[in-house]
Amino acid sequence: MREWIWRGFRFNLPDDWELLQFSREQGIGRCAFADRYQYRFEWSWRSVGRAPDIERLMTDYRSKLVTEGTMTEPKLVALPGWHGLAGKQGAAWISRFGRFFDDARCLAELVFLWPGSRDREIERSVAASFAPVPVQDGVQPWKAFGMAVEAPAAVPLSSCKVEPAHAALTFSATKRGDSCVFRRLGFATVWLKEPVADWLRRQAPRTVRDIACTQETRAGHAVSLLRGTLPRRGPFFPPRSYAAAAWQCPGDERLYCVTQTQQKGKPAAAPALSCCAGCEVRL
Amino acid sequence: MKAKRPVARTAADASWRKMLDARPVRNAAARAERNDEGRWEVRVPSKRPAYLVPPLTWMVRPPKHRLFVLDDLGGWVWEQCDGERTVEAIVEAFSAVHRLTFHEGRVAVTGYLRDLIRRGVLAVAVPANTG
Repeated sequence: MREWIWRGFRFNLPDDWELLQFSREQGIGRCAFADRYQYRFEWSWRSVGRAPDIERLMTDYRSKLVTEGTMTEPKLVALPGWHGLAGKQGAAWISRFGRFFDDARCLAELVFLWPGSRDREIERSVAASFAPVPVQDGVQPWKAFGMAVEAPAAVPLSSCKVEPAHAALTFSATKRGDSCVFRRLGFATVWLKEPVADWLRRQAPRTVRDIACTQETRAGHAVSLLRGTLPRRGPFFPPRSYAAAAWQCPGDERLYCVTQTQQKGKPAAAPALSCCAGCEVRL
Repeated sequence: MKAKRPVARTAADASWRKMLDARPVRNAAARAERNDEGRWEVRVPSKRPAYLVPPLTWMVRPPKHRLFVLDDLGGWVWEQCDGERTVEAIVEAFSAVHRLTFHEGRVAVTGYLRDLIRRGVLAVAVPANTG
């Protein structure tokens, strides 16, 4: 099982289930995971003020399915803390479970798609692993696309770009101009023809001044760090600091990069990026 | 990819297994050779447009071939398309070589395949009865 953290919730899924669809929104959204042949799991969320009667919701939904005839043999099921409904739709089994998380004020729904028969053990272990991850010391953890990230909680996820061998999570607050970008780049043996430090320097905006580059070794990873200052964007804008780190993980040979831009004198929580268990780089 | 619609409503029976079971084959009429840089150059016979008839063809001579120079990754994918390997096998091998997840490899390989099919370099044999 592999751990995922998204939108303040952690859960474990089978190793070969990959995140193919996602929402960035906090209020309402959905993530869908697939094995190599089809979608297998969907997690949807909705921020709600008070706890709904989920058992009642499932009962009503079951009645609706029976009336419509869209699901055969729908029956109410339950897991510790979760109320659910399972039945056969076409050739596949579908089981769905709902739960309200009081602390996070969030209604979560888990939907499993089973092309063969239901695997209750997977349902149980996924549901048991599902838990909110609160903000600690001003940072919100995320774990997806091979990156374990700690982003400043005050800066929301504004963009998520996922392409083959290129994943990028961008957190930005437009008013303050603060941003954090976490990237994981593959095919490094194909396109990276220069030292990582040189590549990192080329990634920095042209306007960065007072650049200071350093090198460190962390858990066997040669990490290049860069710090500098960005000029004011106008007379009413404060100067900003720019910090970046990049390294190539010897484990998966991918290039990892984290950059942070923030107002000088108003430091936000320091972002951190981990490529593997041994290596965490915090700016 | 951003979330579009609930997969449980639409994709309970949907699967891309049929696509993975397909076997890409090279265009038998295409000629391929490596250039000086070691990259594959594939020449695909081009069809003369219907409007190019004499006496127009006395002045405008359409090229007999279209030339495609494949990059390293595209060349590797092209080499694997022997009509025996399935798309799934090619994706697995590509993912193993470049240390990608299966779906990263799938998106990359199917992108190359789509491009090569569109240009007439490859064709795809799809099994008749698969889920």
